[in-house]
Amino acid sequence: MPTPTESIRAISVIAHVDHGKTTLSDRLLEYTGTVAPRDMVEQVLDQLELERERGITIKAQAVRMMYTASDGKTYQINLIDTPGHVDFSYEVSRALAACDGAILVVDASQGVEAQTIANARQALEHNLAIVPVINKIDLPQANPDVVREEIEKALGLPGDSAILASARQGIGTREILEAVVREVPPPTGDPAAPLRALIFDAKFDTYRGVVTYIRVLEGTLRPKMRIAMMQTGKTFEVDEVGIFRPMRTPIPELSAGEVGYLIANIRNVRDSRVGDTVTDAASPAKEPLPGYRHVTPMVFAGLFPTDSDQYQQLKEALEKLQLNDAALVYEPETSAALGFGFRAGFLGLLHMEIVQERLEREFDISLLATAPTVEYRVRLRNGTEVPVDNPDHLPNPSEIEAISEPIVNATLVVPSQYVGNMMELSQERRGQFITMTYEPGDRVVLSYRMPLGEIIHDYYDQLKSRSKGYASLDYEMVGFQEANLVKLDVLVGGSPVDALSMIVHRDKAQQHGRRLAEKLKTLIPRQLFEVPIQAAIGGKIVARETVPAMRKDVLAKCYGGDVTRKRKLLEKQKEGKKRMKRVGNVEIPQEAFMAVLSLD
Amino acid sequence: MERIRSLYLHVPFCTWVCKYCDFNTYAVLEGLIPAYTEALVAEIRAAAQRYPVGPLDTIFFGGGTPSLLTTDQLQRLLGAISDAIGIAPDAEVSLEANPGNVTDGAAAGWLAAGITRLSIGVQALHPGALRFLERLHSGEEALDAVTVARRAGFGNVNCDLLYGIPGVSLPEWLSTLDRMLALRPTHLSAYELTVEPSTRLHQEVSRGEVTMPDAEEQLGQYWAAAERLERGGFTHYEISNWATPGFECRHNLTYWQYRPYLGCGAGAHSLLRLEDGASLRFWNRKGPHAYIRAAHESGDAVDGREVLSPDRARGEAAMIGIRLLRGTDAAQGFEPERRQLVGAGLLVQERDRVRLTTRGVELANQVGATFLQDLG
Repeated sequence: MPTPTESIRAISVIAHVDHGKTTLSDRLLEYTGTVAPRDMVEQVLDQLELERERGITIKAQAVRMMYTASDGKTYQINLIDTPGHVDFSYEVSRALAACDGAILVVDASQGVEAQTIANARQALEHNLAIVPVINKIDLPQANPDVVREEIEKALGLPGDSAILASARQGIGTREILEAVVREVPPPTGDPAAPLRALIFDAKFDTYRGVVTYIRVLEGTLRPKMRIAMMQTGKTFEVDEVGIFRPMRTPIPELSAGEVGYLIANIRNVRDSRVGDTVTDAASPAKEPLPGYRHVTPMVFAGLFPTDSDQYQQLKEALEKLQLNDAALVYEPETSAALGFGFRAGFLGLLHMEIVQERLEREFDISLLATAPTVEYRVRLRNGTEVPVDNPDHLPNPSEIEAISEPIVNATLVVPSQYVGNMMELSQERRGQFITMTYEPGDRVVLSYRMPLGEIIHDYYDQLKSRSKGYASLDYEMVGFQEANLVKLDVLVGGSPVDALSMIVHRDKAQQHGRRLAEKLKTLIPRQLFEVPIQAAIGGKIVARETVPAMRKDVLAKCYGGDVTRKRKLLEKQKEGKKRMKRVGNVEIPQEAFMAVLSLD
Repeated sequence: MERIRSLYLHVPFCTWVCKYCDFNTYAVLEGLIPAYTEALVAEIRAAAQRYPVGPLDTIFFGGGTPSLLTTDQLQRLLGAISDAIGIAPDAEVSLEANPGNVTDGAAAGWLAAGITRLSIGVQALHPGALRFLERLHSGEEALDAVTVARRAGFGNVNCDLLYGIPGVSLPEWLSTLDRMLALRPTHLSAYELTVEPSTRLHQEVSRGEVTMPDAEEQLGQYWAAAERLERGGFTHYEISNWATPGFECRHNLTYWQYRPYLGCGAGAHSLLRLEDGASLRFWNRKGPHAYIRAAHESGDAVDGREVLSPDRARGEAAMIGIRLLRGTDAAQGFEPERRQLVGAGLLVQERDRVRLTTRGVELANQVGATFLQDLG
């Protein structure tokens, strides 16, 4: 029996990473009987193995729960889980756009963090009703009173009404559900209007094609309907519609206000873009839903198989990953140092790491990734502008009029005692100070305008280490800005290593070159001969180090009883070498190609 | 299968296990020696039935400290070998001995039992060095041991020495060599003191209590020794071994020339060579108790084995073969590898054999590894 519209709720759980979002979602599923406790795999919503391991949610999930409230009525609560990382902020924004309310989880001891603020702001921008929850109140370090005040001051939400909970212990679960039913408004869409459904996620299923996650805002969606994607213009015939409980369960229709999925023989997630609007091809809606944005990659890196025999395998693996990851882009690339590979674009560093790990783990490819870079816009003397996402492809300096780099607004939340460190770090990274506000709980919110290129180079690790792990970060892209940038080249054994080139600010180029050469000296093992390492800007050598030749590598003894052991020793030595890349006649280990990432 | 002509017997007992030693040997288990001797006899008899072995050209009692065996025990073992396997009339029969065990009586007994070559664990002569190494003998005792062996009638005497000992200078090391040379041994082995994992020396080094000499100093002592020994009439025939003409260790040449051998005793390794070029290697249980039990039960104490394909076996043969400084023909067929190594100045090509250059000796592992097959 369909739920009356006024009994439908659609909510998200939003939180800073590690504040207990997933555990809380699990409790809600359990409490509403959506999942029996005995079937409860820890963290039901995080399906990807990697997600479970890292304890983070990468792709949004959506589950329908039925809850009988204290008013005696049964409510349909649709829970949309959102990704918890800044790389996926667009996906978060689409998930929120599909909701009418949000449960905002704040850790009772950690308090409000950068992503709490960013998420709460987003939720407010989407006009969502917010149910604040202070989680982990069972921990000895919990300080709910301070957190209440923070919620009040930093987020402008009524801190008094925040529900005290411990998702781990199941404390507060019922109160949260009651608040959702009470505070979150029911949907207002007309089931009879032309169909408008918002895509907030899509997954590729080997047997069924793309499973599109949608919220129907207006109209009704049924199997056999011909639908059109309003941004891409593509049309498909619907095979199946259904809901997640939490497994896929087909139902006859999804009508205004409901959350579920559709399957329509879509072969690529690119045809089912997050943020796009699904409508009825026969009687389309006039306007798509607002907020669609074409997702563009922010971070680029070269991906090369360690063993050149695996090139084809890498190609096929990327194709497969792309079926399920519309944000991943790549094109073939050839490096003089690393051979044939791909230049890939990612939403951010985490996205990049995830793709790398999946390639290595799920596809068993031994991968060499170059240091990530951002996309620069290079204005040439001839008036044209070219994007450059590979430092080695930077045009000749004589042709360049100006180079622009991507700029973000970065928000840092940090205990006041580390403010100085954070300011120093952000200044080192060419950040422009915007604002600083003091919040309750001894917290400071700092805003900086910073080049994204500086953030992807070890900024986050530095942030954590210089604040003893307390600082949190969120950022959003604001545009491009011209800067005095140059290309730094690296020569190993006299040959330029294209994969080690980087684009840096001129003021920092020499220092970077020196540090990079020093670092490479520690990473490149001794070879049979001396290996010079040089850093150069526009042909001028700015730094030089030398890896001395290997002096001695000989076993004193080798008799009948230890041949096996000694052979294995040498085999291992040889295997280690095989994992290195040969540039000229120098063996360079993989870590060296990431050396530019940690020069501080 | 190629007929086996060499037999190694392991005696895993020591009065004291020195801190640098990672051999399969045990202190305070000397009470096991009688039972162990019988276990060896059982294994020898069973092996004679199982493998194409004998008559033997070389026998080597290694350890541990084989000189802890009584003359009777040695006689019992050599008798069993002779009966079950057979010993060629001109066989080389070596016994490793600690200086403290080399008395006139013992030496005479060993000769009578059939030992033809004595290998004395001198290691060092300077008191500081001996103390560092935890050797139980003095330098004088070590020198006396060589004299006693000579006097008893041993015409073939080797001394084992260590260099690169912390606190021993180059002049002190060279004076050690001079004093050894004065006693006219027929063979000398000089090993770099190596820090092996799971030794007490390793612990001391990693705790920073001991600092090992650097590569430059070690090589300095090595090449200085090579020069001094060659002037003393010795030929440098393997990375750590020198011999007067006609006295190269025939048993050890078996290993370096990749010929088959049988190993009996706790932890001993055997190598069989098959017709197609493949190798079969197997090794015994390491612990003396477990070994004794297994050998008594079935005459078989094998704990593990590996089969090397003809290709891998060729690589292994080349890896070991290049240790012989006059060169090896085992690297034939490794055409690109050989050319690369000659190009890098590590090998020289001489007709059908290659041999290590000076630099090649210093980097022998790099050369050896080149011939090994890639791991799957």
